[in-house]
Amino acid sequence: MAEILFYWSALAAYVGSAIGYIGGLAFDRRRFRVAGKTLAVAGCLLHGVALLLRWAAVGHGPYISTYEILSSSAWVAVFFFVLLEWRQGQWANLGAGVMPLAFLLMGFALFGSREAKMLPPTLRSAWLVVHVIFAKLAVASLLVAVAMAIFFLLKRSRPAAGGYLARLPSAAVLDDQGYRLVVFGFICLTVMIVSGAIWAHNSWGQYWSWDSAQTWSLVVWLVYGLFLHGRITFRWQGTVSAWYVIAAFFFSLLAFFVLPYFVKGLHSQYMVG
Amino acid sequence: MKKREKYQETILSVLASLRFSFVLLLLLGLLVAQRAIIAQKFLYLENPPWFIRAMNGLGLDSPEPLTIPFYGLLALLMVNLGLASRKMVQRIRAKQRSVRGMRDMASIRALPAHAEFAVATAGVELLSAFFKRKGIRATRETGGGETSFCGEKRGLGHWGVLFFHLSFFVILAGALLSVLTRYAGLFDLAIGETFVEARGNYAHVTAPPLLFAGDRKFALRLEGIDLSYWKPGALRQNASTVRVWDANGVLLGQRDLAINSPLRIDGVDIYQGSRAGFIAGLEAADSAGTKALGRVKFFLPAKAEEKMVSRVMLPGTTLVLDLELFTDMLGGIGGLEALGARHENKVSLLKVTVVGDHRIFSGVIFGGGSLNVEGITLRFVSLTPFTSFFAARDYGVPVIFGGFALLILGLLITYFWVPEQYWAVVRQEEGRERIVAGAVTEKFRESFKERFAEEMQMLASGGRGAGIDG
Repeated sequence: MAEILFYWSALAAYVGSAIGYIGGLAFDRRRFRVAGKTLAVAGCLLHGVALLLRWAAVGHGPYISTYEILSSSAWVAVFFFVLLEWRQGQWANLGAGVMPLAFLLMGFALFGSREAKMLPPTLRSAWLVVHVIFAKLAVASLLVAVAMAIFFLLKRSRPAAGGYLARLPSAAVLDDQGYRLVVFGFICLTVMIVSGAIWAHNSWGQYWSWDSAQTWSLVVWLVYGLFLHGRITFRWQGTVSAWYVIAAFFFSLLAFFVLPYFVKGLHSQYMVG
Repeated sequence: MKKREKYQETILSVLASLRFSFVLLLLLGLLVAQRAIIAQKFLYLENPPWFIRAMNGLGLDSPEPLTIPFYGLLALLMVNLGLASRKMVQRIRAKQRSVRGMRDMASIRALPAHAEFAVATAGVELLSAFFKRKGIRATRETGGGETSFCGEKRGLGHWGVLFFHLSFFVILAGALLSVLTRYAGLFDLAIGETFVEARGNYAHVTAPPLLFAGDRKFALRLEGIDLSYWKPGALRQNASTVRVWDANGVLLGQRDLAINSPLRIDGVDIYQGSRAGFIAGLEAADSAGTKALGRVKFFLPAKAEEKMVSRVMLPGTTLVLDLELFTDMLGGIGGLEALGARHENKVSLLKVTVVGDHRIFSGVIFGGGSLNVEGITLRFVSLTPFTSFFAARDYGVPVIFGGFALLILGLLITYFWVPEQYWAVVRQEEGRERIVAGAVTEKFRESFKERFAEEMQMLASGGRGAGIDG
């Protein structure tokens, strides 16, 4: 009961925060942005408490059922954004995209079953927690990199535009920060694959089994590895880099979320709840 | 001779080039994608959507044709990484030498991140304080009315890419060691039974490894099984308690092992397996008094309607026994109580159907009881729970995991410990001091340029109210 109360409070705070950020972007009022930020932080805290209560009630982390996966993904996205805004204030306008996405995810989560799933012993591992956290961080950072790539393309196509585009950092800095986020996502992806391999070794005595989802994740790693290589070898930057980041993200969505939904391999139950 | 040397040089330079490694990575990505399609092709899909059908159409039927290209690519990648690493060390050393050298004002002004401003006095102290605050180890030279600075921050960052490259060598060395030393086997144990580690004692075992193939000869006896289910088919807990002896018969003690918590004995990892059930001891005796004792395995049912059945052939006869086990012991397993209730007799019994030479005979043997059929006496002598284990010996695993750690460390250093080099010159000019400062970094240059400009602005405004000139 307490968990759902915190959950709904967080959802309400996220809705308020989204209105604040969108208002800040549309009317260029600082007051709106401050309200958006305050509500995002409050929502993140309330949401964190809801997740902890859920953890205590079901005896495992929030990564088994659809409700838990979507809810924790929304929390990671908001946490990541709050952290980014705290460190680099110029990214505040990104809240207009992140906060609506967060409350939509939470809304979708409520459509899933809230029933506590029975946890098989293979899933009781500290490595699973590491694996899941870094998977979420990878997706969150690569998603924000996509947002930066889109802003870069918009800014590049209309260099003299005013409004919200003028309030964003320069195109060169957007490109640079997007690159930095892809690097962070790539490292998280690496930790995700490595921790998965260690967990598989502990569970089944085999660190790599060429399972379909496992192999696709390696392909995603190589796709982003090629991007980093291309940035050094061919000096990819600007438009080429932005389009690559967008295409690579859609490919990773296909590999991580769409394919495991249809192809029932070892990962299906964990990845689509 | 010179022509030959030139060719060799060209080949070496191509093999060491970044473009070549990019092409190799691209090809490797395509091969791994092919493996992923092959893996998903073999999974049963009910009405797959069009895009999965289309993807599957691109996949081969077997991964075997990929083996040679895969290993070939890996070999070329290693050559490329080796040669590139050599080149990289030379480049890092050159960079380290260059950072120790001073630059004049003109060359600092040519740097992409640079600033120029004037202060009334104490420009040297201002810059020294700036370098100290930023944690830059700077050196200073004075002469000809000028003071020059040069310094570096996060110098270790130069070696990040090399760490990253080395990690691939370590991972591949681990994989090679794995191929040479790995073997794995399965065995089942009933409570009280002992397994001695030797190839002949496994129910299934992989081919002997090329290195360290000898039997380890340690022994483990199953003392207890901790098995429970959330519901039939959904495992809740699967753990075992074993007593372990080393190869010399010295008792090492009692140990627990469970899923996700393997037991390591003499370099061999013992994992809790997923198969479990009962082993029935069945004794067959003919009229001449010849006896044979057999172990018949029955697996636990995964669904309420599933039966525990097994089929065995009586040795030395053409008789086949179709056996079905009923036991109240099933109800004693957590989560399977409902299945136990189905076994109304609440005792252990075997329903036997004997098939041989077109004759069929059905009967029942209670625990401890016997049955005569075709001149053979069958006795149901024991019923014990059993569990399965998976053993694997692989000396490559710690090396591979060490390589993974190096890989992550290399990536972190490469991208988040980025070296920054700074140069500055302070010159006395008409009662003022002119400062020209510049810096370079290898990654995220635009953000660095912006940050450097902000820092110089602050430095200039802190320097007796002067502003940036350029």
